[in-house]
Amino acid sequence: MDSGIWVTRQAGYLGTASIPVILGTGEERQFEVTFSGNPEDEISAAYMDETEGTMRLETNSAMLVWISNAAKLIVAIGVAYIIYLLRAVVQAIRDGDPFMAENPSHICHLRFTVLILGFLGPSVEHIVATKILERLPMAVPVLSPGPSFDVSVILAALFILLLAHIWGYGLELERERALTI
Amino acid sequence: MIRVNLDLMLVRRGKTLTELAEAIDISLPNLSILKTNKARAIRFSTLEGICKELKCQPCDLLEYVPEDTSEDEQR
Repeated sequence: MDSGIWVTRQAGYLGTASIPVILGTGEERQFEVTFSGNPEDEISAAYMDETEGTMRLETNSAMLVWISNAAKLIVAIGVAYIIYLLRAVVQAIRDGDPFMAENPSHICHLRFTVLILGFLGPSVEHIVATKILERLPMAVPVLSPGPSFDVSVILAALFILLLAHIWGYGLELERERALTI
Repeated sequence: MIRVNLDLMLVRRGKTLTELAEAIDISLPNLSILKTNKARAIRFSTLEGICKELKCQPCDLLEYVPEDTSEDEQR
């Protein structure tokens, strides 16, 4: 998912906002986009980066750039949380006590986070791209910002669900063992 | 439920839980878990050790109590 770059807005500095679009196939890899209205206050140039993928806008509007980075920000927060959870689980394994009571819940949270990122990320990207496109007086045929859901994310979430159940069973066995005198 | 009458047998034999724990090489906390009926299972080796030390039979230590009776006794 390519949804822009981090830009600190400075006077006169042009940032780049990127939004995913679906346009159809063609041979040209890059071509300019024309506007029917006057977006000069915000947009200085717009072009399709690739016919199947991304429209890039050169803009001095921090709002557009930050909007285009919204999905990436959500994914970054989610990835940080996943790393935190994984670290807790790995630490427990390293300490020699993998079946701590907290670990099944950590793994469940991991599953939900992966699912949310897999669905929320592309959905937010779709909404953000729609909002940006609505603000542009486009003179080209209607562009469609299409969300792309990654099947591998869904499979990863299912695998983590299985792992959580196995871990919970292991925890139960560990408790049984601890209370066997 | 299965009730463990370890406390009764200890009184009958005049032993303390600590002495029993040292004699059969089971930790005191674990033996307390057994005595307070919180254990989920007991190994035959543990049962053998207790019976040998307290000179009793397993039926002296273990008693089946129907659930309704155990709830009435707790009241």
